[in-house]
Amino acid sequence: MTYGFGLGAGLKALTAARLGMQTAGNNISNANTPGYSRQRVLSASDVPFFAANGQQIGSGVRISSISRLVDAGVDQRIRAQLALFGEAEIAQTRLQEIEGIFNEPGGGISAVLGDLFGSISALQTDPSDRALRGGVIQSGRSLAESFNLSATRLSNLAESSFAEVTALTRQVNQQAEAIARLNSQIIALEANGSSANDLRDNRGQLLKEISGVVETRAIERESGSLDILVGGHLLVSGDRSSAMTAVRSESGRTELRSGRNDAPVTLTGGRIKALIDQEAGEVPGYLGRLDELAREMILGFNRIHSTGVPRAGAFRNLRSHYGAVDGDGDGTRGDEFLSQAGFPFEIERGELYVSISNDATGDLERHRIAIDPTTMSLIDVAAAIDGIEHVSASVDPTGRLRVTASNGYGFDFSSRIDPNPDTFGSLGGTNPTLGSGREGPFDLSGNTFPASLTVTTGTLAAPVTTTVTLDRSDFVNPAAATAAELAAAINSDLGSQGTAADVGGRLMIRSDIGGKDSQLSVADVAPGTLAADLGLPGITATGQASGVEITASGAYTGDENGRFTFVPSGDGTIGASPDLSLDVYDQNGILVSTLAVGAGYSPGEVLEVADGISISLGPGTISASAQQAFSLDTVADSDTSDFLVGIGLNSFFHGETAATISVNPELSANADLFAAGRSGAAGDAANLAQLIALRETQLDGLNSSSIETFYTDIVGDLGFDAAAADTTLRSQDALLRELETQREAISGVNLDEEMLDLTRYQQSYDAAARFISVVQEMTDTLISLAR
Amino acid sequence: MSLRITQNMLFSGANRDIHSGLIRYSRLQQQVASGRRVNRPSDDPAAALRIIPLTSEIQNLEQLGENVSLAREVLNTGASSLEDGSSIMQRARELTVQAANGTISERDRGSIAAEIDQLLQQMIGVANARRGGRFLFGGTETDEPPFRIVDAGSSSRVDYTGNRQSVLIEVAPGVDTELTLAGDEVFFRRNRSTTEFTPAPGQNPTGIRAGSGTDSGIGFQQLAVSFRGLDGAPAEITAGSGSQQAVGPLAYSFAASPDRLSIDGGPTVAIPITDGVFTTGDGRQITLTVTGVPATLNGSMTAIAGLSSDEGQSVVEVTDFTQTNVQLINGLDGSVMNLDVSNLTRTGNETAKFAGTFDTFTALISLRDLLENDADLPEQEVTNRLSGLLDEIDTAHEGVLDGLRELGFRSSSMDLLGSRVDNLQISRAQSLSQAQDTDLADAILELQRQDITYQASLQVAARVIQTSISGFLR
Repeated sequence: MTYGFGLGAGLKALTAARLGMQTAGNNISNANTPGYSRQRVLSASDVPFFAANGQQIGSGVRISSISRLVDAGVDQRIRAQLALFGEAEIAQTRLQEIEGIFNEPGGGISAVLGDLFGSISALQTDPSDRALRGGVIQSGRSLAESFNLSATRLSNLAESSFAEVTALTRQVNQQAEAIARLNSQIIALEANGSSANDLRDNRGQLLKEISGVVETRAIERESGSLDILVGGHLLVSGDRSSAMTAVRSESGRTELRSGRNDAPVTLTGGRIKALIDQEAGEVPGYLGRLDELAREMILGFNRIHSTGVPRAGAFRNLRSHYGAVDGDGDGTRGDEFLSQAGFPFEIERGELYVSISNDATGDLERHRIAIDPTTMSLIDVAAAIDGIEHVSASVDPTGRLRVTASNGYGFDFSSRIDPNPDTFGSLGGTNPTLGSGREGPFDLSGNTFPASLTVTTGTLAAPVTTTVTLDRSDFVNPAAATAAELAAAINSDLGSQGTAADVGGRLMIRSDIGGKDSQLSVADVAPGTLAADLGLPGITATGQASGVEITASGAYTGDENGRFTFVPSGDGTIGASPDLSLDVYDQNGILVSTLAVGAGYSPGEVLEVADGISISLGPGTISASAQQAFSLDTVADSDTSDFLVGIGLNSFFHGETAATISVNPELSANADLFAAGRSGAAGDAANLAQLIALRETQLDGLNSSSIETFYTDIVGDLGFDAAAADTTLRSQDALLRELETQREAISGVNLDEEMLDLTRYQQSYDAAARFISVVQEMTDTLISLAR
Repeated sequence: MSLRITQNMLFSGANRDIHSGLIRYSRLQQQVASGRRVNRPSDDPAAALRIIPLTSEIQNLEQLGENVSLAREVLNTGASSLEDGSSIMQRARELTVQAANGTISERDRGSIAAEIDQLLQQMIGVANARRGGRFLFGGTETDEPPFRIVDAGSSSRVDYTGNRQSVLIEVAPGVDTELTLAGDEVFFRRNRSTTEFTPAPGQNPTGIRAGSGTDSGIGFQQLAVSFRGLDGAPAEITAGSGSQQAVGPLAYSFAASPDRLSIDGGPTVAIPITDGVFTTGDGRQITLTVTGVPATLNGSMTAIAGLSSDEGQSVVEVTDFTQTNVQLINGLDGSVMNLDVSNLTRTGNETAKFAGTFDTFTALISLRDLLENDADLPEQEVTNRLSGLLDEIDTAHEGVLDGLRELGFRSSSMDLLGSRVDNLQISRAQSLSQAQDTDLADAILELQRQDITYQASLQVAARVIQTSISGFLR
């Protein structure tokens, strides 16, 4: 035992106690430092001496290490959980923002939608009231603007993902650089076997922060350096970091690429992944459903509106909103087939009824145009409309259809009932008429062309004979000659003597001279069978002084476009002859009604036919033997082809998506152009009822739900999504906290514990000092002995 | 529970507890303050799904409620107009009865005529009744007066320019009602049956009958049958000037020494004669000039009849007295009368009554014109025509009352619909309130509970974070 030994042991004890106190002090001062792991001084007894008698004597204390108390497994789990939490947080905030955009219940589109239907219902109280009409237009605009605003804010939200990802990527890159620097310091420090506790804590904290943004995998090397992998991309390797960049792909989606070889980085979790997912998921999903809704609104409203008639009556001129696209690039617009002309709404195979009305007489003439989008171009349709008398149509250089009526005439596309269905006068008119007695087509194949007929007109006293010759070229197929073809061929020969017409598919020949003494007969130029083939009766028809006045009223409630053909059951006088009746056939030749118009009927009385249509007949005589008949178009939908909607003629809404929907500016400028009715009469509100019915209509385009149900479903789904995201976020938060608690239990600083340690080490220090002083006293005693 | 607890855990735990307490607290506070439980869809997605359609349904019902009251107003305006119309017709009836009194003076009739004219103007006002600038009896033609006076020669008539389309308004979910009546169904009627002819008072029937065709006149018309000369008579016989009562085929027979002529079995008159008055077997007089004895002693000729329903403006001559349907067009109003002349034998005036038809305005106009021009007519004729007009006024009155009843019925059904809409609205509002509104009692109770929890957590936190061993180490 040496003297030095005693002092040495004391010194070691003092040092150990001081280190212990210092560590406790460091723990106390870093108690609130994020990522700090408490440190602990580990001491061991030093190598013993061998005393003279062979006994071992301890040589004091030795500090073996100052270590961090960490559980790498918990840290790993925290990092994974941070990625999940970051994802949930993004989802939750995004959905909350979307909820804010929809502003439901009570403030969003549902309110303005209700306002629109409310204002339409209010207009029913007085369809001619300008203020109420303005109300409808205004509500329509509010709705369009609400759609626009929601769409803009949703797309801005989707757009903002890129900016956010860019910012987050920059942050990750900086943190990765910092980790790389720390790596090199840690390697240098730990080369001599010590532990770089505080640098490791810093590095751990940075890694944690990165993990919330992108899910990482961390691999610690022997050297103490930490490599970080993000979705296969080596973000940090030793003392080097490799930056990532956010780029926008061709499809407009945000993508993350590694800096070095520009390879795409596949993300498995974290905020950035959530943002990229959102960009393609929730936000466009809701925007898409809003677009669908807006599109169906435009389609539904325009279908009804385009066939209506404005307050001022029929149109003088109209121009379509959507122009045909020059698909084949030949510089001419409108020469592509309708299905390829780039119209936003699909034009289907169907028919379009164009009504031409005479301003002065109010007479209505209706024309049917068959539309086939796969074989007809816009120019073809324009030509078909142009072919109608008193109206001209053309396609302008922008690919838009222009329709103009001649002076004194107007046109519209309404399905209203023609109030004077027999303007030709083929039932009890003043002029004698002869009919084919049945509908075409007629088989004329048994005739040798040219085949002739003798038509006798004029008066009984002074007959005029005209020869009508039919040529083979008059018909597409002589075995199936249509009434229209026959009428055209006969008219070209008959001149001013008479007129032939297609009356509901029947051929009608009328003498142009009327009155009591007028006559009409048709006979074959012998030998021939033409008259018989045409079903024309071999009698001489006579006219009368005043014709039977026929008026139709009501609104057709059936659902198929067609016509009613009225055929007398016998010859007689309206209201006088016994058992005289009119048989009414529909377009399929089915008898729909028999109207008693003989004795017992008072001329002028309104008779109900069928499907909401009524007619009244004035006094006069009608004839079955002359095969008289007249037909009344029954139009349920005057545009089954959606042609008007497709090209945007007389539309209520313009645009095609939630972002582009707007009210036709012409309506905004002049509320009288709003088509509340179908006839232009001030009190006509036929279209309003239809628009109101649209509210409840289950639309094919909306998976058989109504407009409001579809919208409610969007909001409901949003509510469920947002509520679910909320719950997810809360549970991820709870899991994270649980892990943080676990980490805190291991690595966290307990101040009481440290205080106790401090006290403990202080007491050790006191004791060690005391020991040294004892050793010194012993030495003093020895030295005094030697003096 | 972890093995080790650190101060940080205590602090952050306390922090979290206080924070989540505050969140619950503020959410409740928002619910109480706004009165709404669901402020965003995620608050209660299922409730949001109910709230949106309920809100829009309530909005719709409110509009329907307004529509019902408007409909009721319009119907009542129409009804009160027709009530006025009914009093006008009542007054017209009284005046007609008064005018029919034989002792009334010419001047009094004139002043009655003036009052009838006033009533006519008022009646047109009734038929052109408006509410807020819209005409009520013109179908969907609501911006033009549906009834308009048209002057036609010496008389005038009132034409209907409206249509028969109905003005519909939605008054309850899926229920439409018609706001107006078509005026031509209220003020005109055309339940036509065979036209009846009554000879002018004191005259013999002319023998005219209704033809097989359908007439188009309305109310009454005067038919005049006049003598228009001879057809098929021998050269020696020509029409003279004087009383001419016979029309139609007439047989003549000459007898010689002395030369005499008998017409249609009547007494013989010596010829030649100028403007000699002959009487037929059935007592009709005819004035003829006969110059001599014809070649054929016995034969027949025809006295041409002239038919006119428009005071002689247009006359249809009849020579063929076998016709059963002669068409006579009235040049004043264009109406057509079909006549059977096979029994026509006499000249004279007949009143044609187009049975089953009436025209309120024509009745009043005829009444006025009759009273204004009664000086030219014998008293009996005036009284007779007045009694005919009285019938017509009663029929027209009935038409107005029919319209009134219809409007009244619709108006009372509006009351029923109105209360149905109100009830629906109340029940929907209740459902909405259940889905959306905060139950205040519950919320306040919950608020108090949260308050207690919050305060407790504050106290506990305060206590826990104060304790530290350093406080005890001295």
